[in-house]
Amino acid sequence: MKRNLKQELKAFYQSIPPMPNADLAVQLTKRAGRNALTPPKNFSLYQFIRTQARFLNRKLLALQLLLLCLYALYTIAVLQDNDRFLLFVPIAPLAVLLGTGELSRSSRYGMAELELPAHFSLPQILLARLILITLVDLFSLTCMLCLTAMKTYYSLGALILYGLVPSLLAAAGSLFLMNRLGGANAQYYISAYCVSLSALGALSINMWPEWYFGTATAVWVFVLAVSIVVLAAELYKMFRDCSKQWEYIRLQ
Amino acid sequence: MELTFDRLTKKFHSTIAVDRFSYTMSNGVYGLLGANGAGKTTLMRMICTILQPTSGEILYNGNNIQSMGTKYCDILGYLPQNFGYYPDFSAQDFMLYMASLKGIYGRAALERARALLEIVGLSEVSGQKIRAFSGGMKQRLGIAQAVLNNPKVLVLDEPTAGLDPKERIRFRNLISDLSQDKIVILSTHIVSDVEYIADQILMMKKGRLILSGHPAELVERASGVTWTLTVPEQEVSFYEKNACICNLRHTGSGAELRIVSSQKPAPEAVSVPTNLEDLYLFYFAEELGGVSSHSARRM
Ligand SMILES: Nc1ncnc2c1ncn2[C@@H]1O[C@H](COP(=O)(O)OP(=O)(O)O)[C@@H](O)[C@H]1O
Ligand SMILES: [Mg+2]
Repeated sequence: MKRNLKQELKAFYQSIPPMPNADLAVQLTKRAGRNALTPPKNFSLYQFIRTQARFLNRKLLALQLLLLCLYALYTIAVLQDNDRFLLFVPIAPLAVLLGTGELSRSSRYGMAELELPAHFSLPQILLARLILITLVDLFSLTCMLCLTAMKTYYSLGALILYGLVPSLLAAAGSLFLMNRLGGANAQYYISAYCVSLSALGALSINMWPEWYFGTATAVWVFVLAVSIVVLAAELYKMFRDCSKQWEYIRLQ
Repeated sequence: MELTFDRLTKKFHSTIAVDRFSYTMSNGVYGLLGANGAGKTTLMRMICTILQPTSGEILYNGNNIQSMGTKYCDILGYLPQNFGYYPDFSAQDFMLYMASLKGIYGRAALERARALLEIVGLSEVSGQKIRAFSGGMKQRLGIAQAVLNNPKVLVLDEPTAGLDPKERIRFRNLISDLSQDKIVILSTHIVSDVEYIADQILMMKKGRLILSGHPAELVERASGVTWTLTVPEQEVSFYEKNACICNLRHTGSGAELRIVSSQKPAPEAVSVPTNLEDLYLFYFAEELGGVSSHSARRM
């Protein structure tokens, strides 16, 4: 199969010039040059965001789904009635981590220079990706939350708090790192950060159960507020920086 | 349709990458020639609004391109010198993705992507991951995405880098086909790439536009700078050190040198017609690590 392809490619290269099907090419060139094919001008940002769903990295989506499935399997099949079950505290940062790859994609793979001069430029692309991954993350977090709610005695409000705080902490920290480091390296640091956050979550469930008592709620709310503020600031910085376009292109 | 450069300048800290570049372009193919570091990429990035000029401006039909916003993006096609791609994309995904950024979607995008992949000869491999592509195939894909929106201004930065000679010829034909009623600006440091297809050649040196004109006209203007000279083998090293030699051929009776120099390099040297490559060497001898072509002379 592979050798076949190689031979085909070789033949393909040796058949130029002229082009293998020159007539067709001339026809197509004429057609391509005609104004009939100029872009429709009524393409809205909303439509753009919808089309971007098709271009999300499918591996990340698959991993996200796998994480969710494993979680579901564990809660439904393996777990006995354990009423102190808070596994989604360490899982949430990992779900966020899977999404962050989407945001740093342009600079990691050197596509920024192609994306900048287009009709929909980097700010819109980042916005589209941000919205899409937020939806994906929200979806899987909600699923995990529902699954968990079936098994524990925690109130739904407390569960939402315990789910939101690690997610937002992970998102705010990741953006903080991405905005400052940039390039290919950032992803390593972001991974390290999210994994340690997850490890901390796992530790806390077992070692410091008092973190999850009602008396600690005020602290959780405080951390929630701080992470929301940091997240908002970092989002603002990201969008401001990427419209200062040249800083996004790392020259060789 | 007109693209005007008005004393365009770009500084990076202390280096001046583009220095008071003034020129006006209308329909046709413009070949930007210059050694590495001459400022070609910087100029092209400014044409594509990726970089902002330090001073001066670029006008499209009299409007500043920075202030035209997405209207200008819609008529622009750009092939960067180096570009990446998402590793999970096939050629077709890549084209559809670029189409979506340019505001083309649905059936129109698919039809256009297919047609262009056919034109650049990649339709048979359109389902394959770009990862598996050779440099030449990647370059052709880059050209295809640049013309997705049927641009009026097409900017190609070193489009022939990494192409083998056959692909080069094919590429030239492709550019000629695609260049009708467009401004095509392509940069290269390989003279033969633009010799035949460019309507105008612009030579850049250290950020400045030093020479422009139709290839034939340029060559004519520069007549009398190319010389041939046959010398004994032992004298070759002397000329290598002291003159800008663009060709050296060993013959039975010694070595035949082709030298570019504004002065006659030796009394017995014979003047021959200049070609574009000689002209390029004449201006860029120093950058290319040789001896200045302006001073070559035997004492
Ligand atoms: N982002 C940058 N920061 C600093 N210097 C730069 C930058 N981009 C280009 N330069 C400098 O500008 C000059 C022109 O570079 P470039 O436009 O890439 O030339 P070319 O494309 O003709 O090889 C070089 O001296 C290069 O070092
Ligand atoms: Mg360059």
